[in-house]
Amino acid sequence: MKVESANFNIFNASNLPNNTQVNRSISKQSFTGGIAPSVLADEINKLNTPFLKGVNRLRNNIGEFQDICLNALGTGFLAPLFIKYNPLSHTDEDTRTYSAWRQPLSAGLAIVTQGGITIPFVALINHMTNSGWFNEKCNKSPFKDEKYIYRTIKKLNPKLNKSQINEKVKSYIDAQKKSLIDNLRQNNTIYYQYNNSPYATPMNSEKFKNLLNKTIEDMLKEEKDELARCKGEKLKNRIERSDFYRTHYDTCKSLFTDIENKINSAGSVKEISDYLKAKYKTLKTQKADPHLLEILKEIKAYEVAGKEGFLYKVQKMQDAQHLEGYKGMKTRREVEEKVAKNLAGRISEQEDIIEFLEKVKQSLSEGKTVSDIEEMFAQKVKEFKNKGKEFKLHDKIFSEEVIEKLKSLTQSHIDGVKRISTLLVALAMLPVSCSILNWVYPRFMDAVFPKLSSKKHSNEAKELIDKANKNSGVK
Amino acid sequence: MMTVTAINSLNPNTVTNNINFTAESKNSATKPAANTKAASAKKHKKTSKALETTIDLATFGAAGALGIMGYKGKWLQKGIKWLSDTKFMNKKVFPNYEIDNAKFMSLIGVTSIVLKDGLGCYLYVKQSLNNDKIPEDKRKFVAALDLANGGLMVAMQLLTFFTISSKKVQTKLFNSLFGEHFTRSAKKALKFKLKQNSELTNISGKEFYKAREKDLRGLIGAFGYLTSLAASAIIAKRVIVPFIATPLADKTKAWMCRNDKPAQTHKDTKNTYDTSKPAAQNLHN
Repeated sequence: MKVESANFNIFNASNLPNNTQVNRSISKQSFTGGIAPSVLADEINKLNTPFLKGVNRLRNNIGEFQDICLNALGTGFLAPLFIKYNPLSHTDEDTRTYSAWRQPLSAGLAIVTQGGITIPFVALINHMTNSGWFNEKCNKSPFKDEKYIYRTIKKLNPKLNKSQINEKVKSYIDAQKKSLIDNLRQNNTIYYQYNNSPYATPMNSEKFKNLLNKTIEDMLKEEKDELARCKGEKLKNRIERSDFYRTHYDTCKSLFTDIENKINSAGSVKEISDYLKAKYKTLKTQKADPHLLEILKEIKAYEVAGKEGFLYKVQKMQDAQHLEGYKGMKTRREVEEKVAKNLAGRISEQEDIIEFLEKVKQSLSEGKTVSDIEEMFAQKVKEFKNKGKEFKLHDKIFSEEVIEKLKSLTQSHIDGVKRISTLLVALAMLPVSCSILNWVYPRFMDAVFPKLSSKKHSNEAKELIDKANKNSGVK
Repeated sequence: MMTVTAINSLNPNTVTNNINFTAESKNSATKPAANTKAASAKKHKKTSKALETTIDLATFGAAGALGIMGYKGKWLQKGIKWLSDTKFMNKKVFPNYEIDNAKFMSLIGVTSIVLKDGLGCYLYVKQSLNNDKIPEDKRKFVAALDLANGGLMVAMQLLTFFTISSKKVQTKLFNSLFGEHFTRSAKKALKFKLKQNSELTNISGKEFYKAREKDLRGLIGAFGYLTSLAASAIIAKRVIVPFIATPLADKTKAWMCRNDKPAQTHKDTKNTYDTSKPAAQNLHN
């Protein structure tokens, strides 16, 4: 489908309506960027196992059209075989063969109709989300897709080569993000572009308030979950492991020493891994305590980090916070007290964070702006710093959290629109594709398999006529 | 006589052509008036065919004109926009999609399967049964296969939707196969390794865990796609369904033909199915 005139504005003061008040005086945290998510994703994938790397490669290369083709291959090649060579069927072979040929034709038709209708339809929705067709719920104009940006830049600058376009795309994305953050901080809103207006329109204030609330609710939920984990699973697991260290100090110490020696003497990471595997097997056969097996598994996980990683893990497991910390303790009660004491700091820190976020939530309901909230965060970080501590949420930038939330909400709405509308399109297309198959199928069979469809080829017909004439003596 | 027999075999729709021809030749010898009647019927057929073609052309023309008007007027875009503004989307779909409500997603999935495959099955069967171009001796089997295929496809799609293709099952399967790479220790090890990279020395715990979580979600998604493709799209839909549907179609066809007289199959057909008795009788046997 044709790409319409592109909306390619980044919303800053220059393209706001004249009556929009722009507060230029506020300038707080600047947008710094950090590590690009794509770089991090690539680096993580490099460390995945070959199979997982393959799955990721497939994920990036299989598009909708390839998906349709794979499905069609199944319909076109497998299904007919199970119809024609079906040992359970009593219908004559010709009829089965005739019916089996309906499958590849239907598969071919699926490629044409789905490839020709569904894919462009989804592409059209994507285009509409970027170009301001939808209302706020499905409108991506403040954070346009990379693909859309690429296509638009290419269209506007036909002479640029690929790398030049990519460079422009990158700077556009950065500018887009910066503009979003600036607008959130300076104007306490998000600007949308609509296809029927040349001006950027601010987000509905009620919806904006709702978005800020949802953002803080998400942050609260994350921290509350962590608190529950600290008080529940984490506390329980730590007590169990620490008590095991207390009761099996010598066994653990000897295991760690053996492993450490092996790490230091081994020539390669594989050698260490093999050693750990063999050790695990031996201990399993000897029905060793599950904690010991778990310890080995945890060390083995550091294979990806190499020799240094192995050494770091084994030494950490023996430090004062772990094995050595529980040496000489007499009772489980002592262990429980020590673990609880260690975790108490963490628990109270979590409780502090939750209390702070509740305050933020309260401030939002009192009409505080994004920049006010960022100020609250900055104050909290400072307060902790003065006490010589680090606030756990020091790296959270509230405006970025709001943007992330907005993106995920908008995407979920778009997914909903896609799901329902493609279902409607598929239903509307069904009578058409059925009719096409119904028209093509018998004609295809007549033309290609005349014997199966009880129709002879013209040359066969001529032979039959000649034969008949000869037999009946007609000259 | 033989010449006419040979020519008769050219008629694609004459399944029992030998029998028909014999009957026709007798008629032509005894009732010459029938020829005039046949010629008149032929003429009428020609006229109705021309009329049919005109109607078809008019329909295509109208559809084309509507298409052009729709394209110029952006009807499709307006339609999608209208859909996104409906109460149903805003009150039902969007809130459930926001929280990724599993129950709602299942409901949508099941509705989609039943509607698409159900309607498809109905249309295929109806059109096959009424398609004069499909040889008469095969038409009912083609329709029966469509019916059995459609019914089984709905059942199989629902079965796989709630089992192998369900998010819950796929996550469990993924965790049992690759879970060891995503344990707390494995994540810590990966972070340790990444920090050795000079570009990533300052990576924060949050940044790392967020990225790893994203990677995991993507991997589960891709893995789910692969397992669904293998189990549902290939094995279930293309192997099991046709394997069961074909013998089931025998029964369905026999049921469809329960009131038919014994039919003569085309002489070239490799006969492995007894047609000497009424089909319903075969069904009971």
